[in-house]
Amino acid sequence: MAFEFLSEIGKGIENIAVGAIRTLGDFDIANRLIDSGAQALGISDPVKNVAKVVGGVVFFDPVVIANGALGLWEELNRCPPAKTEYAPPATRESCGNGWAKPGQRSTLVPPGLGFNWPTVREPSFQGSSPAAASAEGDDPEELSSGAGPEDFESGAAWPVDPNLNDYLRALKVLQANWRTFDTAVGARDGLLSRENLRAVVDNPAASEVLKGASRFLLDHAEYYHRLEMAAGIGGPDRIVGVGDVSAAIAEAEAVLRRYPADSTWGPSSLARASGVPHGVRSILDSSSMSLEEKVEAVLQLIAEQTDDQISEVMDQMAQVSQRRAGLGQGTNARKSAAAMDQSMERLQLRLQKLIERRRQMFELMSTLSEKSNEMAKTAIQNMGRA
Amino acid sequence: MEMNREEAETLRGFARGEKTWAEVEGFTQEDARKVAEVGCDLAELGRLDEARVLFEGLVELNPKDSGARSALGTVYQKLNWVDEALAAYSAALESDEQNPIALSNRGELRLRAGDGEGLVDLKKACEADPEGRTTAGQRAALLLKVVDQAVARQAVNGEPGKG
Repeated sequence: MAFEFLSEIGKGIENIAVGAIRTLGDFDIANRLIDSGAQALGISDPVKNVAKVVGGVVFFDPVVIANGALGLWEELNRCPPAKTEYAPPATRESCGNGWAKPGQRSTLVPPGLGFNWPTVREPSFQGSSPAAASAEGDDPEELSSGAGPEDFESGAAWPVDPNLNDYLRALKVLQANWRTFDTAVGARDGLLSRENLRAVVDNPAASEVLKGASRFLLDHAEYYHRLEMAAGIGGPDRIVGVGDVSAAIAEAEAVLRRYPADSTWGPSSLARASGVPHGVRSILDSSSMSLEEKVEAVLQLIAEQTDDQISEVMDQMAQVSQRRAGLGQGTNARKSAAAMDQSMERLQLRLQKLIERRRQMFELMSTLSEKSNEMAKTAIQNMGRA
Repeated sequence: MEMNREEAETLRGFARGEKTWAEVEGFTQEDARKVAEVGCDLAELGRLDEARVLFEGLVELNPKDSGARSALGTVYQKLNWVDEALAAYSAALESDEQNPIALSNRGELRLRAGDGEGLVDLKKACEADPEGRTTAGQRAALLLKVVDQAVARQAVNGEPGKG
């Protein structure tokens, strides 16, 4: 009886050993493992040979398993093989190697358009959109409603000149191309006057981006005056320094942060009433942009809105994934999982369409820019022949 | 199309093989991490083909990123594309020889093929990830513990029949 009892225990242990083998993939690795792997681990020959002689799988010594390796076996099952995880390099030298630096824009985007890869936002929306605000419990109506005359009088909201956006754009063009403007007339002296702007406008080789910024400042004396005194140095001397440009940009951005575009009125409120997005309306209303610049700006706006939508979809996908991962095992959980899988499929389809739309917008912008350059060259050549 | 000197140099660098497409497109490590998170989630859900596409895209954008290559290797491994998985892990280790995910999974695949060098990979994986921050690092440590315990047991028991 004792022998039968021990025999049953032995069978049980053997089954455990077989199970432990299967943990690594159900194959006989014992002898091959012992020869080469043991050498790598510095296991001595006598021990190695003993291991080989023992009938079976010394790697999974049943006694070892019965005495505690079984716990390791269970832990192994909790750490599955080939789990997909992303771990950037640990060393500072190799971290970021091959990736663009933060803030670096795409080399392929025509200058002046300021297009960047969509940045995928973390789920902490911070009230950046009505949808995000409603997710946090805020009333989206409060965020999207425009300011009317009664709000203006009470001081609760303040309308911002729609031309402020064009002003900011012109300032950024000025800052990015400061040397070009500076040297448009005379020597490089770090100063800019209306003469420099006129010289850029009159230069047939200058790009429409530079010309558009120059025209805006020439056509809007109120903004030129604002710029020339932005740094607070000197009075209205008609001279603009690089410090004025930096100060003006900071000031304009601060105003736009404090008074979001939705709080503007006048043409914007008319735009909302007519169903035309505010940004597009301000572009169309702008008197400082040429037709080509307006078309490019509208396309860029559409591309940026597409980027925002792409970011939102990816955030939603991340949320669905997280909820899916937290589901249990019951029948209800399986139903929820199936529903979430369908949601994920719909989100992926939407993401594909948005990415395709973005690609088409970008191709359109590139084609437009290319055609514009060709037309300009042809015009110049024709003038030469004439 | 107008382009400043730095941008032109970036494109030339790409043509010479010195710059990656990620640097041309302005795709940052943070962008890559976000895409990789989605890829990991897709793999977890069993959507291996979609995960493969994402990670293959990341590898195309920046072939130097060992994290993307090793993640791609795990997807190949789950698809039972063993040769591709091994190649991906080896390529990952060329960029970062201390990548615990590549080391651990390559080690295990090598052991399955009867190559004892797999134990060396497992050992290196443990050294690269001593705190077990990755699942692969934890698995490598556990596998080596099983080996250690078995060998230690045999050393105690000595010759068969004398234990």
